[in-house]
Amino acid sequence: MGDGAIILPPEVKKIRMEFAIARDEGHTGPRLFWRNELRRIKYYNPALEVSIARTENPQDPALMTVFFATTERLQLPGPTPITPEASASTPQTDLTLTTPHRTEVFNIKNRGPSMILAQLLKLTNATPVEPTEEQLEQRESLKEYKAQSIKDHKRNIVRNARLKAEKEKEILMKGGLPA
Amino acid sequence: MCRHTFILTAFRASDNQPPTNMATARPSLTQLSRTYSNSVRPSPLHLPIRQFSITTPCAKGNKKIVSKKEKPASKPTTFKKKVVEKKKKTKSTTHYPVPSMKNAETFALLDAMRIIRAWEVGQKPTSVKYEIALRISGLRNGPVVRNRIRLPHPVKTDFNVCVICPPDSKYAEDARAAGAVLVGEDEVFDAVKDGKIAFDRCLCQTDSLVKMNKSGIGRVLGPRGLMPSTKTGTVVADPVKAMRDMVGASEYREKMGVVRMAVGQLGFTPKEMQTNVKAFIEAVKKDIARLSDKISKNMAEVVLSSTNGPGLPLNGTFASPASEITEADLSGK
Repeated sequence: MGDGAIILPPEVKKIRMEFAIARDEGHTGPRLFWRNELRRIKYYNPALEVSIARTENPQDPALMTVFFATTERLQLPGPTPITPEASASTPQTDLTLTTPHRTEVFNIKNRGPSMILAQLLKLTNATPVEPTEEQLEQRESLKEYKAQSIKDHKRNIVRNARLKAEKEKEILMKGGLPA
Repeated sequence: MCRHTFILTAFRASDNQPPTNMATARPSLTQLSRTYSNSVRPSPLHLPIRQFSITTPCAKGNKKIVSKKEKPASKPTTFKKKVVEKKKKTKSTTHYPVPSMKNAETFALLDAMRIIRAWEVGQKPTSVKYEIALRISGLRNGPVVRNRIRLPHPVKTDFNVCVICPPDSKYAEDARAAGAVLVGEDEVFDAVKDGKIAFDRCLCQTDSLVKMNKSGIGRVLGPRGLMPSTKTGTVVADPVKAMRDMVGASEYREKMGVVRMAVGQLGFTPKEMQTNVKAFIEAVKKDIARLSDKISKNMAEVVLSSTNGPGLPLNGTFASPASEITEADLSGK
């Protein structure tokens, strides 16, 4: 459930992300995608191989590479890939897959997590996982819990301020200096 | 009347009793005069001093007396209460609290591994470790569970070992063959004194012990915990055997009622993890049994976690029937 709850087709073997360690120059989106969406993708596709390479220089490009097994290439429905394979941007050392494969690379720089996910969905033609009723119920209960917690938090702020004022008053009555 | 009695009476004048050792029963002249003067002497002023005090108004009324009377009455009750509270506290602190595990969510090993692997996505499979936290219920203070274990699948294997032994001995050759980074006596001491410490463990052969202690490298190695000593079991007769034992052996120790240890790398397969976790739990069980009979400790909870991941309590099963996850799914990178 949530963003990234998708089941990728079996021909998708590996996802590789490249982006900078620094968050500026449009590298925030990829980082957030890795932290939230990619975890869910990995949960729903446990056999999927994922590798992440982070560079020092924020001027470097941020790219996502998707590795497909080649035998199923013709069966791939969905739209045509956005950009053809760029061999220059994917060093040979990354191609750890032993089986023949083809790669698709697209830019993820200056893009938010939702946009990256949309791109990935379009490229791989993955199917989103529908949340079960149980999960929806759980979400509702969590929402209520959160609303209650915000209420309690506000009430507690008032209470704490009152207690603090009382305490200071007490100290002043005793003749001491308030803290 | 003699002079003697006169003096005596003069001394006794302050007393109201009649002097017993007087020669005659009749009172002496001086005594008479004294009694007389006493009766005439004006009585001292019986005005209350408080009347002139500034704080008199505060002390007015019966307030003070009432409070004095009340205090002793209220004191014993508070004292009793305190005693009761103290007793309760000491009772509860001798043992670790035992929370109810009724509603606790538990996971099968495969499910837990799936969640952790999803959480650690994109991390290096060798640098991220699975960890086990074993919660122990029982006595809070007393002997702790503490031992070393060699897991069936060692978590960390790449130690850089330094062996201090006579350079032309058989031990030196064997140690070099076994993969020791630094072997010898003087060369080791020089390297250490120069600040070149390229090893994580240091062993010393018993023949070189005297030479090592004289060399003064303890000042450098000591603070790093690398100095060989018989106490830590790093001064050995056969360094190669010790090296073999050291690889993969890791220590664990109970802290605040929890034993924590890394039990695997992220790249481990579920079967490897299963054997490791089993071995660890069995070892701790044995350690608990080895403690004295008076101490009863039990394993309360087994939680699987990872370097950056969440903690997931295990229920002891390998795979849950509800999930379709397979071993092969979790074996890859």
